[in-house]
This record gives sequence, C-alpha cells and structure tokens, in this order.
Amino acid sequence: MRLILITMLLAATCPAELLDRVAVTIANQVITQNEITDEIRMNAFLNSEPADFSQKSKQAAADRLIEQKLIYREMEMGRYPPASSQEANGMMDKLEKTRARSQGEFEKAMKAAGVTVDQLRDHLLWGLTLSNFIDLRFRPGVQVTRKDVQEYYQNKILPSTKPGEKPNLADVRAQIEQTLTAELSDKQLDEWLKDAKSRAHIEYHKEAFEAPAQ
Amino acid sequence: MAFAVLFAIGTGVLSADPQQYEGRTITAIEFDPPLQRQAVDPAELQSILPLKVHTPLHLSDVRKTIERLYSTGRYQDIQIEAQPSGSDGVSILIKTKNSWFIGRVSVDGKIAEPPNEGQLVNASRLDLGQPFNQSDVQAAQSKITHLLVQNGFYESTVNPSLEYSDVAQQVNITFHIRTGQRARFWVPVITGDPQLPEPKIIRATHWKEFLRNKWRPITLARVRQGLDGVRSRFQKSDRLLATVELKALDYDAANRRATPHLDIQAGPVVTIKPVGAKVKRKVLEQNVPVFQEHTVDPDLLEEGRRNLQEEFQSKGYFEAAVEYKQEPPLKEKEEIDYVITPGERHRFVKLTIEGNKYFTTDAIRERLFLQPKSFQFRHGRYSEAFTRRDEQSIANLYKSNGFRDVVVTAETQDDYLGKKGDVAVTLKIVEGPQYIVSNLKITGNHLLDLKGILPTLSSAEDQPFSDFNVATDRDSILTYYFENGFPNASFEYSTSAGANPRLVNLEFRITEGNRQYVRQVITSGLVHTRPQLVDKNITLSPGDPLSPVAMSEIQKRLYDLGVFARVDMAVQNPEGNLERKYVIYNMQEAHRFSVTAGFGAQLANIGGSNAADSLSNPAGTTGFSPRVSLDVTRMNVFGLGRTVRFSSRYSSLDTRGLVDYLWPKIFGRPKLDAKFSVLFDDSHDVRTFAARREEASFQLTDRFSKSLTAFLRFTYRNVNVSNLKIAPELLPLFSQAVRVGILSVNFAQDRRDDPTDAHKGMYNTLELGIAPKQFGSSTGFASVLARNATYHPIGKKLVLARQTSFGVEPAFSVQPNADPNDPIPLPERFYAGGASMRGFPENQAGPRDLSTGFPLGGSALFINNTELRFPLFGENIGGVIFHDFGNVFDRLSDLSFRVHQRNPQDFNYMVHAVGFGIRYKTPIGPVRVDLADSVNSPRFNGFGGTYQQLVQCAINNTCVAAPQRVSRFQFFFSIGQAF
Repeated sequence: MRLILITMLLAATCPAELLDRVAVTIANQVITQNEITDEIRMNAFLNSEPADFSQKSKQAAADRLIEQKLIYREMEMGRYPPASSQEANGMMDKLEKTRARSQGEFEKAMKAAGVTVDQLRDHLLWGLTLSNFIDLRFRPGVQVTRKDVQEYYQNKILPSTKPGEKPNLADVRAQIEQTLTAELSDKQLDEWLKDAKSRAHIEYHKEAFEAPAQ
Repeated sequence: MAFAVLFAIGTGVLSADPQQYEGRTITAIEFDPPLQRQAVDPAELQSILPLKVHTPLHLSDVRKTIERLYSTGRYQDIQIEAQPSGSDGVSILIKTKNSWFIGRVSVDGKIAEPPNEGQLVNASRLDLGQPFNQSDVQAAQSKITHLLVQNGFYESTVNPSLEYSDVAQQVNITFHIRTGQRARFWVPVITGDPQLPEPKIIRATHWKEFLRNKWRPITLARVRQGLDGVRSRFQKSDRLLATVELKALDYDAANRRATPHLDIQAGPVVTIKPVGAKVKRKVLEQNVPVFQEHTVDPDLLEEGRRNLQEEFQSKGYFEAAVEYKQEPPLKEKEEIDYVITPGERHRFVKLTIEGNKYFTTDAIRERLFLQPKSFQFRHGRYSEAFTRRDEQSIANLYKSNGFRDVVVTAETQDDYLGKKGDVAVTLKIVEGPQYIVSNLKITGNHLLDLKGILPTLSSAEDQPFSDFNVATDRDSILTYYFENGFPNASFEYSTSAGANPRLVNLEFRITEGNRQYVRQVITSGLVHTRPQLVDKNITLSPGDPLSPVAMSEIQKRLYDLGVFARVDMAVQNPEGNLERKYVIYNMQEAHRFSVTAGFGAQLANIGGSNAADSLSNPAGTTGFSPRVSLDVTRMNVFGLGRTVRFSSRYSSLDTRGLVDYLWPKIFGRPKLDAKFSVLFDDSHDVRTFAARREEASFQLTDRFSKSLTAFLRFTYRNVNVSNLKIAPELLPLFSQAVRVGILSVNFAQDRRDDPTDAHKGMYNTLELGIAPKQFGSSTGFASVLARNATYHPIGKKLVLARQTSFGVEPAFSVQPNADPNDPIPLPERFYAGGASMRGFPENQAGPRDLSTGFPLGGSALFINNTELRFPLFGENIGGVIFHDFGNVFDRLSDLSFRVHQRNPQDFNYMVHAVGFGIRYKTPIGPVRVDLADSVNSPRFNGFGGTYQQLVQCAINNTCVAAPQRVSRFQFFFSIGQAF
C-alpha cells in the first residue's frame, strides 16, 4: 500500500515531459522538434557518422526539412507525380547489402542509430521524389551548348588527366553533357528554393533549437 | 529512499526521451488553456485530433496532432507534454498559444486630403481576417508613410498602436498620423533631350499657378497629371515617341518644397498621314494605336492598317486596301504614310441567309453586324471583318445548341443584278447533325442535394449537347456549391457515345471538398449606432453554411442603412483548415452631420410685380429668380439609422422651410420606410395669389420591387391666400383660408435605364387622393393624377421620349360659401406650364380670371409631351426638338382636343407648342435651355390699371378690358430633362 501511494505520489509530482513541439513554421505547415531530431539521426546513419545535436546541426537539418516542405507543396500544386514505393524498397535493399552482412545486422544498426524502417523508406522515397521533381521541373529548361561542353572539357577534364591519357572530346561529350545538365538543374533548383524561401513566411521557434540534445 | 527519489524529481524537469512513451495507453488528454477556452470549437477540436483516450500513444500521432492543429491557422505555437499515469499509462497535455488575426484597421490624426482616410487604410495592405504578423505592421507603416510622401507630406509621422481582443483573436490596429505641412513643387530640373523650352514644359505640367505665380502643393494626382500633361504636349507636336520620366522629387526641408527631376527624351517627330484618301485626324488617332501606345513597332502599324481598312469598308468602300510605308528616320523626323486605295464605293443591298432550319432567319439576323442599306446605314454596313465575325457568331450560335459540325460560309456577289456597285452577301449554313444528351449522370454529390438546381441545367436529357452548355452548367453547379458553404468544390465531366452517333452520354463528377460553416458573426466599429440596428440585418447564424452570397447580401443591407461610410467583410482565417469560421464585419460610421448649401437660378417668363395692387403682366414677363438653399442633415439619430433633415430654400418666388424625420425599415420591414414632415411655405409661383402654407404629413413608402414603389401619405395643411388678383366679386369666395386633410396613395413604376437622362424604358406614376370633410378639409374633393412616359432609342444615338399626363379633381362636398361651379380651392387646383407644358410660362395654363386675366387653375388636366433627343456636339452637348400640347381645364367635361380658341373667355382647348432645346450633360443631370413657339397660345382680357381701379370700375360696371395674349415665345433654363 505504501509502495502504491509512493508511486502515485511520484506520478503526481512528476513534471510533464516534452514529447514534441513546433520548431519551424512555413505558412500553414509546421516542422516539429522531433522531425529535426529524426532528420539528424537519419543523416548520421546514412553517412555512418555519430549524430550531432548541436544548434548548428539542428539549424542545418531544419533548413533541409524546410526545402522538403516547399518542394512538396510545389509538387502538390503542380500535380507532379511522386516516386513509387517500389523504387524506394529497391534502394533500401541495395543499402542493406552495402552496409551489413545480413538483414538482422542492418536492423540492429538502424536501431542503434535510432532510425526505423519506415523512416528510412520515407527518406529514400523523398530522395527519389526530389530527383523526379528536378527532372520534370528544371531539366527540360536546361540547355547545354557546344561551347559549354568545350569549356568543361578544357577546364575540368583535361587538367585532371595525365598527359597521354587525355580522352577525346567526342568520347566524353555525352558524359560532360550529363554532368553539366545535372549541375545546371541543381543550380536552377537552388535559385528556385531561394526565391520560394523569400516568398514564404518562415518562422523559427528558437526554444526548439535551444532544447537539450536527446 | 523513496522520499529521496521523490525529492529529486520534484526539483527539476527530467530530459525526455519521447520514445519511452511509445505504445503506452493514453489515460487523459488535457489542454492548456482548457478545452472550452481553446481557439478551435471544442467539438471540432475533438474530431480532428488523432490522439484518443484509451488508445496507444504513437509519436507519429503526436506529430500529426501538432500538424493538424497548426494547419487550422488558429495557433502560433503548440507543444505536447506527457506525464506517466499509472504503471503503463500516459496523460497528455496539449499546450497552445493562439495566433492573431487582423481586425479593424483605422487611422487617426488631422489628415488633410489627399490622401483620405480610406486610401491610407488601403495603403497598409492589412486585410481584415488575415493572419497577423508583427512584421506586417512595420511594412504597413512604411507603405502609409510612402503614400504620405507621395502626397507631399515629407515630415509625417506614423505610429501604430495595437489592441488585442480575445473575441475571435483579433488585433485592431490604429495608425496615429501627424502629416505636418504639405510641400510644394519647385522649379523642375530637366535632363535628357526635351526639344522644348523649359517654360513650356513647366506650363504643361500645371505645377505652377500662373495667375498667382505660385507653385502648387504636391499631391500624387498632380504629379501624375503633370507628367501626362507634358506627354500630351509632345503628342500635339507629333512627338509620339516622347518619354517623360520622374527620376526623383528632392525635398528641401528648410523651404518645404520638392524639386522634380524630369528626364525627357522628346524623340523624333513622327508624322502619320493618310495618302490617297481623306481621313480626319480624330479617326486616324482612333484607328492607329501608335498614338495611344507612344511607340512605333510593326505590330502596331499593322493593326492600324487593318483598322483603317475596316473603317473604309464599313463606309461602303468594300474593296478598300490599305498599306503603310515607313520611311527611315531623317533628322529627327519619321514619316509613316498609310496609302489608302478606297476603290469604288459600293452599296450593300441584300443579305440572304440559306440553309437554316433550326433557327429562324430573324433570330440569326438580329445577331449580325452585316446590315444591308437602310435609313440608318445609307451604304449598308459591310466589311471583311464583319463578315468573318458574323460567320463565327452564327457558328457559335449553332454549336452552343448541339450542332458541333456546323459550317457557315459567306459568298459575296458584286454588281448584284447587273447594277454596278451593288453588293449582295449570302450566308450559307450547313447545319449538320444535332448532338443530343441521351443520359446525364451526376456523381460525387454526397453532402448537397442538387434537386433545386437540376431543372435549370442546360445539359439535361434530350437537350442539345455542347461544350458551351457544359461550361454554363459547370458554373451553375459550382456557384450553387459555393453559395452553400463548399468553397473548394470542383467539377469535371466526361462523355461517351450513346446508342447512336448523335446521342451523347454525359457524366458530371463533382468533388465536394469540405463544407464550411459559420462559427459566429463578429461585428465591430459601432460607436454611435446601436447594435440592434445591425443585428437585425445579420441573417447568418452559427452553424449556417458559409455562403459568400449571404455574406454579400448582409453587406449590402448594412450599406442600405445609410449610416456607414464603409462596411468591410471577410471570412477570418480563410486558409485555415477548419470547418467553422468566423465571419467578420467591420463598419466605419459615416459623418452624422452634413450641410449642403446650394444656389441656382430660374430664367423664364416668371417675372412681373407681386404687389397686391398690381395687375400688370398676368401672363408673366421675363424674370430671373435667383435661389439659395441650405440643408442640414443629421443621420443615425438615436443610433437607429433614422435621419432628421432641415431643408430651406429662398428665392423671389418661394420661401420654404421643411423638417423631415425619416424612419427607414419601420416595423422591422426591410422595404417599408416612414417619413414625418412639417412644412412652412410662402410662395408666389402662381401669379394669381400668394400662398402661405403650413403643412404636416406622414408618409409610408413600400418598395414592392426594384421598379415599383408605393407611397401612402396623409397630409394636413392650412393655406392662407393673399394678394389675390381675381375679379372683386370673387374675393370673398377665394380669400378664405383653405384647410385640407388628404389621404393619398401614389404608385411609381420606374423602368428607365437612367433616371437623370433616360434612353430607354418607361416611367409611370398614379396618384389617387381623397380629401373628405372628415379629414378636416374645408371642401371635400378627390384627386387623380396619372403620368405615363416612355423612352425609345432610335439607332445608337437618337431617343424618342414622350409623356402623357391626365388629372381630374372632382369635388363631392362643397363649402357652403364656395362657388358651386368651381368648388376646388385655388391652391388645390391643377396648374401647369413651364417644364410640364412649354407652351405656357410657369403655372399659366388653363382658365383665367375674366376680369384680371390671371390664371385660376382647373380641376382637369391633359398634357402630352414628345421630344426627339439627339447628340449635337461631342459627347456632352445634345439637342432636342419637341412638341407639347395640352391644357388645364375647368372640369373634366370641358376637356377638348379643339385647337381654336373661340373667344377671349374660352380657355378649354388644346394649346400646341413646338420648339428646340439644348442639353449640356453634367454629373448631376443635363442643363436645359428650351425655346418654344406656342402657335395657338390663348388670348384673354386683362385690366390696364391697378386693383383699386378695378374695384371702383366694377362697382360702376365701367371696366375696360385690356386684350392680351400669352406670349407665343417661351424660354426655359433649368437642370434636368423636362421629363
């Protein structure tokens, strides 16, 4: 009886613990503190690094999530098709094979990093979605000229190859075009994101960034 | 030991690992603030939360809870805390911080217009009902300051103050403004290549008052007008490409003036001239868009070419060809010639329509631009553009009725029937099959019953199928959804072939989206107005579907009260993901006092001495009557939307004081208004007598519909007449005070397009009155006066207007000492003349006293006015030719259409007048000058001496009549059409 009373008293006097809170708002969308924490853990797991919960790291994670929200909103408004779960599952299998010898070992590593299977799948799906978005939204508008290819060949390819091993332009043209297209698309994405952020009303709730690391 | 642990927990917050609560059973969900004080309606709040008591806690649900709560828009911060409960339970605490929304935005301070208060509030861009952010206030402050600077207030200060209200989480923002003094313009600094001397540029800006040699105060409108003035100056000298840019307005605080820096590039002189045919400058400017666009480019020149070609074709030069030649610029001169080859002038003589079975030829013709020659179009109206337009127009008509394969072609035949220059056009229609809707299926309408709208759909079964009909139905259905609280409804359709190729199965798929409801209607801005006056007009209640139409209807009703200068309405938090929303009305009360002073004049045959003894000019003489008026109005009396108005008027003919008390929407009836009036009037507008009138009346006005209004009025008046200019033996009869208590009903039906200057429609009035002795009348009589006016447009510019008036006043209860032949008291009789009948001066029509010749009025009236109205010079000066005929008669039995006067004692015949008038359009109606020739104006006998002399000679029966005649020529000067 005494034990029960003490337990009840303990419970009654236990201060409430924070489960989650608003960390960033973008118009009528929200990023919670736990989302940021999960993003840090996911990033650390994929990079095989220890998770860093410093304020700077939280800010960087929040920025990544803000970009994600802006892109998702743009995709919804423009009715861009999302990536398929099958593709994400395929990527997960590849990742499992490169990171662990067995599924059990992979799951153990995920658990140690604080990452769940669903979270990992969602993250990989997001990566594929982002790639699709860039392809559909920006790539069609990118034009790589002969001059661009020539300059890249002169300034990037030739200096990094040994004399005698220099490849012909014709042989590497397709590769250069692909690289340049990707770079230009990324540049356009960056510009679009910069513009979208300036137009969106983004507010950081600093209490969420000052909270102790978990 | 246990005590020590307890102590440790009690002193601080343990750092939480949320995962430890994953899967625990939720035992309670609390809110801070408590549920009943939450920003979202408690019932709705419970329905949107994924967290439920007695279910396992998942952190993903915690996140979803935060996301959903935030998406409602009513919170700016949310945090969820957990506390262990029992051995395996957890109690949840949801802590929220409300967000705020923009409420009333106002400005105060001594503000010299421009800008006015409304413009300053609009400049803030703080919209009612939108989410409030502190940063928006700073931005608004900058925008208001910018507007003030643009209007010359360089030393203004703008300080915002915020008032937070928990009612609907509104922030009321007031900007306290000190404008300081307005700066004036100073000598402009002109750079660039103006090609004009500086004094001419300055003159074109009108920034300097040249009479007083003083620079004007700066306003935004003046700056813009100044720049436009300089541009127009260049346009007049054919520098069509001139650019005038205001680079800066540099303010000199010490002298309170600002120096405009103008950069002017005059550009070349661009001469655009027609070659090969004469074209008026105005027509050239209308057709060649280079003049409006201030640039020369091939697209504009080509458009000018097409426009000129169509212009010539529409005037009968059906083969007209126009080309343009642009010479290269030479020494700042550019020449563009439009080379016009008009060709022979043709006449479009015949238009035939063939192949039409579904539509009649008349139904097709009324839609066409092509018109064969007629009175209105002497050469007919034809051009290639018109032909193409008509082909398209007929095709569209057929397509919208299910004939989607219709083909319409025009064939033009020159030298029709061998006559050179005659053109005939045949429009050949191949209708093709008509596609019919064999089956209409509507899906997706789960929440809203469409029974009310189905009968109105164009794409019903067995009706023609067309994209046009589907588009119309889409609009009807979506409007129906919007009106019933579904702002996000969407519509798609698909078709499939029916049993045979001409039959179409149609499916409408509706996605309803969430329905929105009214949470509460919030009003603000009432200072003097009583809330119950506003509440009566709020027809939306909590729980009603959120209908923009109902909201607009309420806004209109609030404006109709006449007490608000501005009524803003909004749905609060429109982007928030919530079913129930606040509807906000913010009102700004109008100034309650208004004073209007006016002056005017009447110039007509209204002159002549009013002295009691003078019998000169019984038919009036040229007179000028200046008039001043003063009206003081106090609106929103008692805060109930009522009005007290004092009107006064003073002229040489009339002194009047009138007090009205207006009570709109009496007895809660929205279309029923009441008015109490007390009048004092001392007038001499009928030359026969002076009348002092004291009158009180009560009137009810009921608006049955937009065009039909009824008035029920009871009037009691006491009229004392003096200075009577009638035969001495009649004096005792007519000099008694007249008491009248009259109950009248008046119907007015107004279907004119413009009451101040009608071009089509009609206007009818019928007034019925009864004045029995029981109402206090000294003589019992009835009164009927009916008017019918119609307006008919002839072509685009002419209007034929006519009005017929008929009135009769039978007496049924005669005063013992009244004249049994003429029982109606003098002031109560019909008088006509002036605007009502231009053959007579004011109030001069009808019977006259046989001794003095002064008008006596009558108890029957018939007048007809006909006018042909037409434009004379430009847009503002018009002309009329008119014919008025009619008269006032002794009694109904004396009404006659005879045109000859039998003798100087006979006045019961029709007087005819013809004439001409000028109308000058002003914002308050046309200024009118009419000149009339009354071809058979009456002759009568007057008296050459004074009244005393008349009395003397009447005793001795030695009076000598002075034959006179109402002047044939009448002129009138006034405001407003004659009818």
